[in-house]
Amino acid sequence: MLSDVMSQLTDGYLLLVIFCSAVYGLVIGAIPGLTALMASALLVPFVIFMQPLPAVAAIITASAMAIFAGDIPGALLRMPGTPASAAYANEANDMVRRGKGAAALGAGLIASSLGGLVSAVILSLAAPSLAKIALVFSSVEYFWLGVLGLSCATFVAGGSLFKGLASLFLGLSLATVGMDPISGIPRFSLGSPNLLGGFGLIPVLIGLFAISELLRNAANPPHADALPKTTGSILIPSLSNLWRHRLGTLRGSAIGTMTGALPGAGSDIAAWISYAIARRGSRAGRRDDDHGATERIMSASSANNASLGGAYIPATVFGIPGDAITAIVISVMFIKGINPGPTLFLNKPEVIYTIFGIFFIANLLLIPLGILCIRGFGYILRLPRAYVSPVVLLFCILGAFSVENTLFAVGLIAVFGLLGYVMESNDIPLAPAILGLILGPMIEETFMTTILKSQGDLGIFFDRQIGAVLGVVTILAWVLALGAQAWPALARRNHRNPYSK
Amino acid sequence: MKFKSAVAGLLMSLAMSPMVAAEDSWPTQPVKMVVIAGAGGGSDYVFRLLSRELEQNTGQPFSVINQAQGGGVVGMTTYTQAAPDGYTLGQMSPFAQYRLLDQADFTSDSFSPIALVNMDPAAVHVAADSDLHSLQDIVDRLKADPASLTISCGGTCNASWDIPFVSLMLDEGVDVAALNLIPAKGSAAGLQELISGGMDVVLSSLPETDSLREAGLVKNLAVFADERLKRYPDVPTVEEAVGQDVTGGTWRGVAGPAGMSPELVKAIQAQVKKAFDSEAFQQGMADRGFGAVWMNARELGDFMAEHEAQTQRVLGELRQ
Repeated sequence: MLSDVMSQLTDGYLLLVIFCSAVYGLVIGAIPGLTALMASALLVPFVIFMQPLPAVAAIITASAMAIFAGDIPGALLRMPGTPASAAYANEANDMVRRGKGAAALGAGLIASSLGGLVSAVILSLAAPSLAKIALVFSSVEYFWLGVLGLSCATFVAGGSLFKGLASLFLGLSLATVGMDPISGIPRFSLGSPNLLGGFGLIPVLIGLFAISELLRNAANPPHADALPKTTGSILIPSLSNLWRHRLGTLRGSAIGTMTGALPGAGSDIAAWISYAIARRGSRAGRRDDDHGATERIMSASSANNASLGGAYIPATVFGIPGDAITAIVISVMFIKGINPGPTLFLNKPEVIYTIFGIFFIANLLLIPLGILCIRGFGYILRLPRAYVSPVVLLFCILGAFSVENTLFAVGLIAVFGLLGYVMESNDIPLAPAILGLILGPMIEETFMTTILKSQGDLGIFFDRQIGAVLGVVTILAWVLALGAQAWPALARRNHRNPYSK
Repeated sequence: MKFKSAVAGLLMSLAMSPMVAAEDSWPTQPVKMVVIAGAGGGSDYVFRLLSRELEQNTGQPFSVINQAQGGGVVGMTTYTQAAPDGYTLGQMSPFAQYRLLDQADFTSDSFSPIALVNMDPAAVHVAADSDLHSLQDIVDRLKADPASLTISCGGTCNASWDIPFVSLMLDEGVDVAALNLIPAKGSAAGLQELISGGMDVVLSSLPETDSLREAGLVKNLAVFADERLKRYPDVPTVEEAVGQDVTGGTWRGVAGPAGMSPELVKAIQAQVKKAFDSEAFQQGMADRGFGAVWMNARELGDFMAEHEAQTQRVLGELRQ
């Protein structure tokens, strides 16, 4: 079987498809406004009539490349290229401003590649048994997972906790617009069919991050030398970074694979959770210098790429998509007669292992192509802003339109661009708002579904084993977080009065 | 206001008269096909398959535009508000629930029906280890206590999958207003709930459970069709299972905005029929287990009226 897999993988046409979609994915991901989901969706009309393996390979490769490449505009322009890079775009941009651009992007690149490889190994070794675990999750477990994810916003909020929460609640309130996920009754839609589906995540992301940044650049043009060059070697320092941050990267890869394996939780949530854990849970990640930033970037960046592989665990074993990108892949697999399911592992193991093999090739290819991409975009994005900004704006409009296919989405990016500008100028962080918009609908839907199942009995949230564990972990996380806030004050008081008893 | 729009209509029809004269040769320019679901889903697949054939037969590009927002309302609004010139067409699928739920005001008069190409009956699924062994078990259980089972609609409720089920329960004399119907984000999410033990019954089409049935995790109890499906010879029809002749499910067709001329509809219908009959389309549908079912414009129009009546009856009862 191994020789079957190898001969399929070394097919010239397949490799050509992988190479072309790699370049395509990197370019789409690196352009602010164009996302990994869009890269996959735009491939559908092309791959739908291709041979099965190249078709699947094209989407796998393009999405893996685009998720990494989203880091590039995130670091250089502070505009995350995909929602998955939003968690650490600020951090990476700060490093670039300190002249550590090559280190920041190199760290993200090597972590992305490693995250992808780790998830591919897990996928190849344990997909069927892990898929069974993923299928134990019901709405109760998803509810707790959502709440845990939401807590990340408070744990990672640098600066003012109050402002972080304000941003989070803004995101949550925006998430209530549109049809009620349970009854289908329109809410705050003002009679407009465009608002029935709520605010699309991609137009809001483009508006809040990219358009607001363009507005700020227009209002206070940065000095020509504001952005230090991303010169210096990328590969060698990032390899030594990989050794120094091996634990964080491996932890991120594991978290990413697990999160990705849960249907409904994608690369954006994986990056958030891993980032929050690195920030609070590791000694290196708590530091506020380059070392700490690198640790956090590598944890989150490995997680979002690993989640792509993780998503294929339930997808290939049970035909249940882990995220929107795998939903597209599953449908392409069905069309091509590779029907996902346990029998696929029994009857056509060479096909499934070739698909897993594509993950290895794509993630290895990510390193050389990623370096070229960082260099290339490094030059382009450092051209005078007067030339770059209009082009970025053009792509933002294009990206918003092509995801939603409505002009309304283009209006949305303008409105949210203005909102983002106002928020930033008042030091209100943008990222928690995006987190609220991602998790709000998930929490509402799973909460309502659970309550409907139990007909109003709240005990159901602790009735199931895994659900109860997740619930306790979530509550503990809150207690610990609040305790950590309160502890210094308590400790000071005790210190002042050591023998008060 | 009325006068103005009449004048505008007149001007528009004057402006379009050269095109109207060329109806026989439809299409003479690229055609937009609005799909009310995202890229990669079942609807997207059916329409891309159809569009590819139309493109090859007519030599004009057919571009598929995905507008899934608002559960399909946005896509339907787009094409029903376009000019009825035959160059903006769209997916015709269950629409009556939108008006009854105050989401939009489509009626069958908002569309020019052209042809139906696909119909997939709803089916009833339970987990493999469930103590419900037949549809009769479910009926008995619900007759005794309508709220005793959690039932996933396999998507939004008041839609393709649960309406035939509720209409069966109405016929059986179950108090449907007390049923515990729970919406899901889609059939995959509903099935995930079923397997994780969070739900007793899931309603969706049969092909959607293929992988899980193969894995031995899901049992199919009955299908809402007139006769057993060729691909699933072991799944009894509802009539065989409980003796009530109830059918229903989802369906996909091609429609345009209201006000298309009968000649134009005829010309488009002929092209769609040609694409429908092609081997590639039939094979593509069979590959995914989708039912290729044909209805012409008139039959589709009647069917849409029936769909409105059934939806109204069921939603009326559910709301009591």
